Amino acid sequence: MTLVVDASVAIRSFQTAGGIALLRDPDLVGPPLLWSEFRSAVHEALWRRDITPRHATMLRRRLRESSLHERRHRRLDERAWEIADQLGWAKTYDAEYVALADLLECRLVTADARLRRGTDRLGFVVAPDEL
Amino acid sequence: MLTVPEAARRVGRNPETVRRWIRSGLLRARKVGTQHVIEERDLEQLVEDVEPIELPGEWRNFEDGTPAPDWEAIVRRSRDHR
Repeated sequence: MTLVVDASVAIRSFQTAGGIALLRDPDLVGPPLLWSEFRSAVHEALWRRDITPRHATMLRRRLRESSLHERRHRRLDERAWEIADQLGWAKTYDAEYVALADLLECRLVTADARLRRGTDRLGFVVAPDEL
Repeated sequence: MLTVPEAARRVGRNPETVRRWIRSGLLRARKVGTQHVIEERDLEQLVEDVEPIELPGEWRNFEDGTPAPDWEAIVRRSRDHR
């Protein structure tokens, strides 16, 4: 089974050695945006001294060495645009993750309560405890 | 001040959900005897916000015990300032 993860789930799952195992899915994927958001969030947390350089290095290394891989889809841009329209979102960042899961006909797991609640009616966006 | 069952009734949730909020630090409470009591304004503040997702323990801290930042807020903030 394939599972789409968003940036915050990816980061959280790499905080500990066993964190990724909680996702249990053999095929973890994300849209290209995930890598940009992961890098930026970790950099910002380090810049704000919320985490140490050691934490930042470890998170980046675990992402690099993990089985989580980038998944592109020729309709991703178009579908993200449509989903943002349908859900009344101004921006398309969340919609990229939702669109990928929609196109792959799989679930998206998020730790972001706003995304989880805003997509409730779609039925395929879940929180970690719903996996 | 509200007891846990009173707070649960007020927000239409199960008392165990309210206890989980207290245990995880989402909802402030203090102990009076054997019971937790909750300030009404703390409960109101929590339900006005989007109810946070409960995370597995391994996802709340780093291996060395350092609490994880609010990654969801960091990602959202970075999008706002692009």
